[in-house]
Amino acid sequence: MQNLLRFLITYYHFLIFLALEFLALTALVKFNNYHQSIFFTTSNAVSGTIYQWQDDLTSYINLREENTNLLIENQTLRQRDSLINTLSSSNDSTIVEDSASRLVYSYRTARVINNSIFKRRNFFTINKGKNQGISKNMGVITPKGIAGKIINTGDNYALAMSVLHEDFVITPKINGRVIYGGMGWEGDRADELKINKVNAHYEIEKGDSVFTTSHSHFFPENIMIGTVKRVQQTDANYQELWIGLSNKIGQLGGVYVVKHHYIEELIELENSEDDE
Amino acid sequence: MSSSRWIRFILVAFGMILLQVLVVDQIEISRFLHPQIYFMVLLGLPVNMKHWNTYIIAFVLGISIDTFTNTPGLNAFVCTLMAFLRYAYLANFTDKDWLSSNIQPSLYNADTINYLVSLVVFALFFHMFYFLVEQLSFRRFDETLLKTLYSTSLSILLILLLQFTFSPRVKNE
Repeated sequence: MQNLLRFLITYYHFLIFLALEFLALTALVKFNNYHQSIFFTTSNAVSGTIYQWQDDLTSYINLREENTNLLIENQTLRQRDSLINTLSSSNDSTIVEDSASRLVYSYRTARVINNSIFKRRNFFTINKGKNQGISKNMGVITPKGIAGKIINTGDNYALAMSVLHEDFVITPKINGRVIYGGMGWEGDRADELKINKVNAHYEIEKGDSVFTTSHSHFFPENIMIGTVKRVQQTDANYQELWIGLSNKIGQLGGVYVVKHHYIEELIELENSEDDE
Repeated sequence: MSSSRWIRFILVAFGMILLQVLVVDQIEISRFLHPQIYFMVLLGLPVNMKHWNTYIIAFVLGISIDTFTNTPGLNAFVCTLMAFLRYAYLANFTDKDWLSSNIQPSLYNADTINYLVSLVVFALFFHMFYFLVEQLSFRRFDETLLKTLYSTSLSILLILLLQFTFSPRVKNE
């Protein structure tokens, strides 16, 4: 016992160092699984508020571009207006019913107040949280295309995993055909995603548009992802595709958060299938 | 440290955290440039401070930055490690008399060449560990090296600029 005490007294500096490093490493590994608390992320009140101040100061810089985007979106919506079956609106959220007249997706507006694009794992923070009805697993889109999905919510801020995150995977569709194999970010360029294994028999050309499918629950079907930038044959069976993102992720301002009303049920159902 | 030095230190640390997350982190020119400058707070701690005090300060500083960058543990880990290595560096490369003083090293109150060398070594290792831990693997090590070199160069430039502008040109008490 005495030896142990002597040991502790002699090396307590080093033991404190080890304990702190262990704590840091645990936080780091845990965060990669997204089971973390909101405390050490930008969805908490303190850092969220500070980024909100910064956004209040700097948001005017992109106003011209955001205005242009809104005008284009308005034009598209006007053109589509006559085709849409039902569209009811309340305050800042719009509800779109699907063809079976069952409420599936609703949209909420929000602003991106903090963003990164050059890290290995990129996130952005939006200025709405639990109190405004934002919850985990909601998709984030802009008029130009997909941007990310919510992984964590604070009371008034939420954290989204950007499409520029090594764990972000989505099943796309090109020329009406669903492409399996998973599309994701390689960590290189902030404006392109990659699909590694695409059947070589699919005729895909540069310039083809890439859309979301109904396979992803976070985004409605047919939301733009980008266009094919490059096609490369890897062997007789497979080809690789590079997709140029339609959204400039570094310049996200106003966004829509998409709520799928049955996502919990869907996830639960899929998980129960996995268990069996 | 006397209480007035503590207050000054806390204010400087706050300022550096805000400067890092609101200004420097917004420099997104290239994926190879990700400079960190806030660690200069650690370099400026009194050389005779108790080791465990330094570790805790480093950890709190790191986790504060992590809270803003959504990387819980990353900066905390690297900062604590650098605080540990700083003592190894000080013990081996500086003289004993200087080590027992309460000097807070900066460009103006330490031997300039020695300070610059320690700044470069510290910055290099800090960025190297930062990018390695961020990736948690040695995959694409060449890219990590390039990132380290570019980011270190820019961060040293920014730190020197800051010190030229804000450091008081008086000797420590």
